[in-house]
Amino acid sequence: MEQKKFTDEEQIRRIWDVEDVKTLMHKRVFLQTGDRRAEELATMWVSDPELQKTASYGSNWGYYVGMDEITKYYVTNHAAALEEQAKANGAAEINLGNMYAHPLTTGLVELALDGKTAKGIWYTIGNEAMALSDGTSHVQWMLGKVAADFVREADGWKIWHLVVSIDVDCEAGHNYGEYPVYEDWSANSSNPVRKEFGTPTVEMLTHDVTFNWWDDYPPMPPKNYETFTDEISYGPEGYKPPEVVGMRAGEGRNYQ
Amino acid sequence: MKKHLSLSQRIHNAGLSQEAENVKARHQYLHARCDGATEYDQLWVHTDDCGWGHFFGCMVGFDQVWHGNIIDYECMGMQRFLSMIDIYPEIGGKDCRPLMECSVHTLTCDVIEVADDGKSVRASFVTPGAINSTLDPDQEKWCHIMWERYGSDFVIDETDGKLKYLNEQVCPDIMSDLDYRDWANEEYVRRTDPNAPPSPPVTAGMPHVKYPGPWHQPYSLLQPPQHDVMWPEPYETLDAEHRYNNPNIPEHQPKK
Repeated sequence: MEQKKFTDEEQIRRIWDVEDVKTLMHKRVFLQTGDRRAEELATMWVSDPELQKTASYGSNWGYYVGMDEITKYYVTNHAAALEEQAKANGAAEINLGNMYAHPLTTGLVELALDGKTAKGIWYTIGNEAMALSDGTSHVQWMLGKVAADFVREADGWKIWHLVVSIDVDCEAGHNYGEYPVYEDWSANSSNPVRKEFGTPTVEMLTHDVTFNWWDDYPPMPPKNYETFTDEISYGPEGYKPPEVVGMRAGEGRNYQ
Repeated sequence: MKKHLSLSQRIHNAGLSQEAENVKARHQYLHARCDGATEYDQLWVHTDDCGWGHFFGCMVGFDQVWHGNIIDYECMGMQRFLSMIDIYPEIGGKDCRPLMECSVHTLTCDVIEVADDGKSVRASFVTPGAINSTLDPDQEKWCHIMWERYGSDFVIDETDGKLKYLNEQVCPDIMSDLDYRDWANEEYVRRTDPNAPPSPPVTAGMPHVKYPGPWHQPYSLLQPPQHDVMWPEPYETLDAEHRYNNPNIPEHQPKK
């Protein structure tokens, strides 16, 4: 593709936009650390009612679609789990002994040539600590990609679609090899990260860690994309499985 | 501030700085899928003076860089694939490369300098990374941490006007299981117990190199901190002095 030429004024704006998108996602990490989820959705996500309908929060097991559904999962259900935890622990307030650390690295941000949207991907070596009723704490490593679509609104860049794609999750201090090769990724799974994700609006296995990054989801943002289309969305409409899947994890044993 | 450059030149260079971040990040995401072919085909200049350095020394020229990073690497992937196919028949038909491992060298602490002439970029990064795989011939998942440093030189490819890699120098510091074992104590045991198993290889195999190492070695109880890849300083143009993979610096002379 021939590279589009921009004036100095346009180029300054584009450089600034990319930095604003990075800053937005970096600030989101701080709100995550403080577990200020309602504030994050209110200030960092799309406010346009039409965009709110198609906003999505995805993970390996599907997508919550629409801000109402996202809020129910990300804020309401989480708050209920924290109340339950506080009660079980005899804690005077919620979140005592908890920690949420999801720092972002390896940023790759592409601004559409029309300047109306942006796409980005990052990698996080994250962990969460959850206080237990016996006075100890469960600490969970959570390594994975974070990808997002952004829209320019009147007061700045906003998150439209988000995917948190987990590669490695295991308890701190434990050998990752202790965990079974094949894990139960259904809604009944005992895996704490899978359990926390609940039952999304669109339930589907988007990233099967069995095959490392073979499925290439979420993919890198396309370079020099002209304008946003559903085909490149990090929402469910943009999900594409590998063209040839063949056998799935655990299949193919009956050949003898 | 680079006030000796025009505003237009400074805008151009600011854009190049962002582009270097993106090229570097695309490298990481492709490397994590073990897709060296795409990375080196699209993100590198195919010239006789490009170079890729590691503890074993430095490959020079695109033929040698390609052989070390694609031919040798893909052979490893195919050998692992063959050793797993009867254990995990579901891998049949899938690209064997990403099934080998997911090698994520995250990018942090970037220091980026753009040449005054606007034709090249030099950058350094610290990379706390993780390498993991779900499927393995030993039928156990594994996840290692691997901390390294990167020094990278980028140049504008005259054939298509894109910013691409000219040099990458990798400095491995530590590698062990993810938080499960004390890597410094492992090193102590290796040094004090004659029956202890040897340290794991820093890289699998010794590729063809123009400048043999050892250059940067992983952590050792018998070794002071190493500083052979430092941040780039402001510079006018890329030359023999301002570049990574420099065989003439004292740190790269044969060790006694």
